[in-house]
Amino acid sequence: MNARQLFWTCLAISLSLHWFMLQFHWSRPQADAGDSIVIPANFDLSVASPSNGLALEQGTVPQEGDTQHEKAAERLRKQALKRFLAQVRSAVERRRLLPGRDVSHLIGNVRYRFRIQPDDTFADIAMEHSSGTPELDDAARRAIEAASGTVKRPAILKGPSWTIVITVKYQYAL
Amino acid sequence: MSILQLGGFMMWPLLALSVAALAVILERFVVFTTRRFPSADALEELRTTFRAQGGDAALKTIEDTAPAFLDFFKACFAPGNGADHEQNVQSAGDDVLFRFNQRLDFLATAAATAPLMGLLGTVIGMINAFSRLSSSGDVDITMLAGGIWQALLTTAAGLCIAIPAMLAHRWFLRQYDKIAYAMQRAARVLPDQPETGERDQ
Repeated sequence: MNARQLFWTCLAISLSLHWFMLQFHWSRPQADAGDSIVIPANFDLSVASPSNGLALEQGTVPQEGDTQHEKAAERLRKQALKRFLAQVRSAVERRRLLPGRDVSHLIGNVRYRFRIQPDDTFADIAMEHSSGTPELDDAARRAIEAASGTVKRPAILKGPSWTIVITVKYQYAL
Repeated sequence: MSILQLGGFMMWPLLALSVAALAVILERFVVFTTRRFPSADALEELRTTFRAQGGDAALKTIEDTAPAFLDFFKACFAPGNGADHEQNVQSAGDDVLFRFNQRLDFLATAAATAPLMGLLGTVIGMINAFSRLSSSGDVDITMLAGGIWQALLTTAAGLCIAIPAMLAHRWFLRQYDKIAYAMQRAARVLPDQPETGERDQ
């Protein structure tokens, strides 16, 4: 085999190896146990549904081919998830001061982590950061438990579960 | 989704560079591992053969064991003396070394360029991500993270090309230096043969 034949053989081998490697499916690694860990950065959004989000998507994303459709659908799912999580947070906030134990004279922030199951109930409720006052910690837990299952996810989000972190704030007269 | 689609258009030149770099690495590896310069013991045997049986027998041995260096040894065993002979040996040695040095420059260029190309892809990807973010008017950290994640793929691809290319280039250069040193040493040793009698046989 002369030098030219050797080079072209090596080039063919290199092409084959690259082609083989490109056959692998590359994707982002999933979170543990199939859950999506939601960073609590989207709660500033209004709980009310935005007007005509689909029309906005269609106006900004050119509908060319399946890839564009997939991207538009993915963005719709993200927006729906943000709205859903904001509604969950709002539901918890509304139940902070449940009757039975008056904690209105206390202040503090409690951070809880829990998992939203596919049926919209909450599981694995665990306190991440205590307020320092057991009454507030209990009240926040009861608020989360009371809000469990009250907010129904939209059809576009059916299926997965998410683990989220929520900070329940107790302030005077608020 | 294919990694080429995920990484953006800069993945295509990186892919072409990767294919070429790997081909060169493979080709040079075969060249440097199969075309060994005769060892010191083999050179000693060659001297003995040359003294006993003449230049043709010695060249026949070289043709069987190290054909890549045949021209060099032909120049060494050629009748003659003085500056012309040295010039011929030097010229033959340069030719052999040139063949070994082929495409090593490309490998060095690939090792230096691939990270820069990857970085360019990342910068373009970041520009796109932030552009989408600013135009959407709705700050979504997942959109930003997704854009950055995809943009960084080109840098990773560039480094995946550069690191093996650089390591291979260094190793090839080391082998090249070894061959050059061995040839210089052989060129010094072999002319010590008797200049009359056996060479003319």
